[in-house]
Amino acid sequence: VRYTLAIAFALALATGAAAHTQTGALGAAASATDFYQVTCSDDGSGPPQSLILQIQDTTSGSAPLVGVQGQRGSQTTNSVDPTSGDTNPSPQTYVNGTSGVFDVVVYKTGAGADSYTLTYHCYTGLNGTGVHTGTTIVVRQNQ
Amino acid sequence: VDAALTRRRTAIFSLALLAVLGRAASADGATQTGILASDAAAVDYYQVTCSDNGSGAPASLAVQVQETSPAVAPLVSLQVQKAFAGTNTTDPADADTGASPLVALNGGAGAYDVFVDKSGAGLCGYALSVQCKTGTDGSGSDTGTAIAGITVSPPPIPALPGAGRWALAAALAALAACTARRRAS
Repeated sequence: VRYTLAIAFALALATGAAAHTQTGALGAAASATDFYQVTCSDDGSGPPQSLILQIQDTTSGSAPLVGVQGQRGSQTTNSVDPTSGDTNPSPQTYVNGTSGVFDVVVYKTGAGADSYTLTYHCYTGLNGTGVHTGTTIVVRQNQ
Repeated sequence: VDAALTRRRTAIFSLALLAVLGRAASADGATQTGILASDAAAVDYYQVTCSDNGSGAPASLAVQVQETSPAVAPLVSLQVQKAFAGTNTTDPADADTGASPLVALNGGAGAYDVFVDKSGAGLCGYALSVQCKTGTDGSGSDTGTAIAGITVSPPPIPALPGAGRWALAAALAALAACTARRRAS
């Protein structure tokens, strides 16, 4: 029983690290913008030094491109999924910053409803290196 | 190959000149030109402060961006944030005379974060227009608008062709000789 529980716990932890994805939808207006705040913290794996971001446009057809823009203090980054509706996400990008709140904005390049999957992970090293650490997200604006 | 290289250098030089002129002319606080670095993740970050300059209290910030690259380049977008609200707009066409749709964020007086970025790798010139307004959704009269660059890509330095290198060397040599004469006298 202990062995089974240990495996289940390990799987849960692994899933927790891999499950930092947020699906969402942007409305038809060209200016539709979703705004999130991601909080990085030390969950026992070590203090955070960066946030990794990636976005995947999950609407096929002639939908606009979807991008993600991240900011912490004067540090910023941006990544756009170059193809709508395929299985490949945008290039992975990162913002350096220690424990605290990162602003994350999801946008698109024109009019038309669009859906997406946002991936976000806090890491203990600069530039998205090190190991995964405490990561939570809240929705601030959903358009 | 030489013609293509010359065109590329000319384009970079033109963008750099536009950026310098634009930054010099930004004292009115309503326009700003720049060049996003080649990296696909490049972002130029500005803060726009809206205040009452006597025309009335600000209610919104209206923004627009135009891509100014002379050749095909990634699309240029901008995002605006204040508190927990945001909006965005994208110039849909490269190298034309049209700008992105005008968008506005209702945030009253204070500092707005404005980010200019692009849809892929490659140098990209842009002209950013910002204007604080007394009405919501960009309506009403113009009011106090000030812009400051927080993190902005430095202008690219074009490689000089052979003749340019010789001209620069001659100018520097003349300057050194002139300085030496002044010190001697």
